[in-house]
Amino acid sequence: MPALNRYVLVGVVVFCLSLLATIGLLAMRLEATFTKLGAAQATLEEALATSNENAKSLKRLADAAERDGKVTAALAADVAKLTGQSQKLQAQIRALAEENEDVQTFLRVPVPDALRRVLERRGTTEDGNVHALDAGSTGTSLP
Amino acid sequence: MPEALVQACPKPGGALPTAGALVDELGATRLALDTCAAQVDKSRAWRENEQALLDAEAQSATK
Repeated sequence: MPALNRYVLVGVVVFCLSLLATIGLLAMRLEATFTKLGAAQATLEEALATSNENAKSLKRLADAAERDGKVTAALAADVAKLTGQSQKLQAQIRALAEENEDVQTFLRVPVPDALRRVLERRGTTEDGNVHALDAGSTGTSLP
Repeated sequence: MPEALVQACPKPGGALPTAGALVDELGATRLALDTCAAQVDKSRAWRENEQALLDAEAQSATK
């Protein structure tokens, strides 16, 4: 009987040791899993932050495009209105020229050659504005 | 800045044989000036608006 007890005792000790080893191994794996989980969570949070930042950028771009569209449309409306006014003015002048002989006569008055050459020769100066070129360079001169 | 706001201003010009042509040129020049002025006004308004938005964004970021 004592020999049997000794075998049982050894078996129990071996079982306990293997149980402890298994628990230790599981604990190590669990810790490694938690580490991986933490890293994955950090990556996920980083991706989420990037995604949020991208969404904000897209919204900013969309808002800017909307504002740009509005200002472009407003400018186009202004230009259309101005063009309409200009066309109306031109039509008034044409109508006036047809019904008023003085106006018609004036509109047909030829521009003196010297003045015409100066006016027709224009250039852009360094300040970006268009000016009549120096009359001396054209060979004509104003009185 | 929107493309429409940075387009080159129109510069009318052409042959001026008669006073009528001068009158036409005057009309075209007025239209060009008005068009360019509208463009400048819109550009200024656009810039001020964008600056205000940037300032507001910077203020909210510091809070």
